[in-house]
Amino acid sequence: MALKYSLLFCYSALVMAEQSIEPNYHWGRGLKIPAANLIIGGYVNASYKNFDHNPGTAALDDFSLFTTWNPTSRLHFFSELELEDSVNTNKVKFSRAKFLVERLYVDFLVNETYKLRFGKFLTPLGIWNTIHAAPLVWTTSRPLVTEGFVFPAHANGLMVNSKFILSDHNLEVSVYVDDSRDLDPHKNKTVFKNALGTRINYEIFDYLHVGFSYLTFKNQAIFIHSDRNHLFGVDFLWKKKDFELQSEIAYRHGGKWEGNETGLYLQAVVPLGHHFSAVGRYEFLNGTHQLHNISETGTINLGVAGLAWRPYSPLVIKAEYRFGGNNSLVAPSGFFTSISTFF
Amino acid sequence: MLMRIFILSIVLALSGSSTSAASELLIITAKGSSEPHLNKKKIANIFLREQLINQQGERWIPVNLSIHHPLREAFSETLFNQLPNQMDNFWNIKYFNGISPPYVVKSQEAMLRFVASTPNAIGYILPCFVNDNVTVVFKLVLKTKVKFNVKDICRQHKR
Repeated sequence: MALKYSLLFCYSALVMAEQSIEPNYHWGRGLKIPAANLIIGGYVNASYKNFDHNPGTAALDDFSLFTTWNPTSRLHFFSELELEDSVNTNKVKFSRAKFLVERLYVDFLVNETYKLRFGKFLTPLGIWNTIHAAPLVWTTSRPLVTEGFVFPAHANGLMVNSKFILSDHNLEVSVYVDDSRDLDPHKNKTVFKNALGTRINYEIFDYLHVGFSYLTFKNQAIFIHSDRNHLFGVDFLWKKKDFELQSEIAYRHGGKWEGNETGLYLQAVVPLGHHFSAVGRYEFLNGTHQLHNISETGTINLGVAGLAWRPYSPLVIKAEYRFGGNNSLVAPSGFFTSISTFF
Repeated sequence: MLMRIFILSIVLALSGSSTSAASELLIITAKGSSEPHLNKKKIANIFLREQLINQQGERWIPVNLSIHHPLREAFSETLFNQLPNQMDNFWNIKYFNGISPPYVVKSQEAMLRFVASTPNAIGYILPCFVNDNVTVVFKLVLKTKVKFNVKDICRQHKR
């Protein structure tokens, strides 16, 4: 159903685009059709992964298509359709490949301060989940604490977002309610049944942001019994002259069926010159891992060391090695490399 | 002693006349548009597309000079503490969320024409470029005095 709406909205936007006079395309910024207030773009990501003691696999991981339409000054439509894992060297799945609705929402700008968002959007919790696209992040692998072990990546419902200026610093507060059980026809691997969450992001300095999150949710029936989970998260991003340090910490408290989960990562990025950056990350995950239906419980420690090369702004080529302890089932050690670009 | 200081002052004044430093930019909107509550942070948010609409609910149209223009660099360093070419990933994140960076024009003359003729457009120029077709909504004191041939540029503009 959501896909139908998305296609309908794309089609109506394209009909308007026929009146366009000067459409223009820029690599990494999409095709702009000013007469229709329409932008079409996206990103693509291909990777090669070689886990220790296993054959390597090359794959087209993501092919995402964005459509942005601003029919009036207060309305902003956005959709992201994603063709996921369509081709890899083990199997070609074009015939079964389908576009998933990654995001589909409309924003209504109430005034300078408040915005309402309705639809399917990325759960605003921490840093990584809301900017997870391959050309934006520094590593091919994703920190476990952001990968669905602690909370589902998507929410379906209504969000109220407000931005204030407090003594020359931005403060952003978001509150959202989710009813994925009724609103999301396509179920992701882990998905809310319902949820209520809030996020506060404060800019302490231009180069330092801190975030706080709280979320209470139930999962779509992982088990016959579904616990109510409570999640607390803290994150920060420090960024100065191409140096970066960022961290996310999350604690999920569930009932006796889903148990608890604690996770964190700390990542540092150091520029090396010639558009190369060195990346290092430490990760920790402790808990039941029940949101991923993994029976093994316990503590996982991971390290990631890698390089990223951004010769042009929309393009990034990455290579990294992941290693750790007690990680073979959840996040096996191995070599990752990828190339991704916005288009 | 006084004579020495006097001569030195004249020499310094003459040597600075060809490349004086710009220290202030005017933030401008189209004539008649009233936005009384603009301050430095709000202007930064408008140019970062963090704030998309004005008090009347109409969409802001921020306008930038090209990425290596000295005024754009000074404007960017003053408001965002970064040079424009250090903000690529910021604009990539915006693009991922369906938001485009500001329009770019090549010169201050083009900036003046665009802002004067476009409702809700907002841009920046040197004080000597200002005319009756635009309203000055804020005076931005530059953090870094960029070497810029202000007098020559202003003289050429007035011809």
